[in-house]
Amino acid sequence: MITFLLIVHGLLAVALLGAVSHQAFSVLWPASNKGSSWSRFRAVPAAPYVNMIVLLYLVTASFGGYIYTIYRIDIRELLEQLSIRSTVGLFEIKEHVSAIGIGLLPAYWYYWRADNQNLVTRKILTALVALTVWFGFLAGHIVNNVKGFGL
Amino acid sequence: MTRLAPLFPAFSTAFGAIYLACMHFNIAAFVYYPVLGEWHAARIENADAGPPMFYYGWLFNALIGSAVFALAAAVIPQSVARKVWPTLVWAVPGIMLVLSVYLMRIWF
Repeated sequence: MITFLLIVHGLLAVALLGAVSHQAFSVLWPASNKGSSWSRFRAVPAAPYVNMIVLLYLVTASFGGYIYTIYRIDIRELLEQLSIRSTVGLFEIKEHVSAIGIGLLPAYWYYWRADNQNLVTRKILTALVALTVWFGFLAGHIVNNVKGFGL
Repeated sequence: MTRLAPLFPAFSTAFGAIYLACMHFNIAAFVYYPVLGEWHAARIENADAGPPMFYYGWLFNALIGSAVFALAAAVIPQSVARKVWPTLVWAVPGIMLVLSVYLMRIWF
């Protein structure tokens, strides 16, 4: 069951990562033309992604929050016994970064409303949300595959 | 939702700071014991209880605390609010992100 939940959590995270990356690049580094694949990646209309990003963030975090209980019992205890402190620390940072990211979502949604013209704030909040998602994704994968990383 | 939306910047500004303060000083509204599958108002003395989880209690505190902060901040005049929130709303959480990494240096 935990493996199934972890895979679903990972798939949701991939969808969130894709959405937030498209949006962040489209506002932080807009494409001047649509010639190359890289330009097309950045040329998406960013606003329609907002509600889906908020929803995916909350659903992904909820799955993570549930899986966290199993990690706490089965994985973290073992990591501490083996003195693999850096992996525990990385997961601790992921936990806090995700929490701060959840807190950012209301403002992120608010500054993306059509009637809100604080474009700098909108860009920075989008970058911060993207940062939390990318960090959570990478940290989660490193912790999940820690044997291969040799940490 | 639309009526509450103007409170969101204040909410988001406070959330990360309250969460991190609760985490650092371990102020949790409740504690979850995953081995027992039980929620408690505080730590319990039970050798079989397994490790306690404070995370959900910190999140709950941040949720309630930032909601109260946002309601209190609603009294700020709109002219002032329009100037302060667009900066504080990313600056405070940004600092909290850096601080969260700094506080976790004990693991490395």
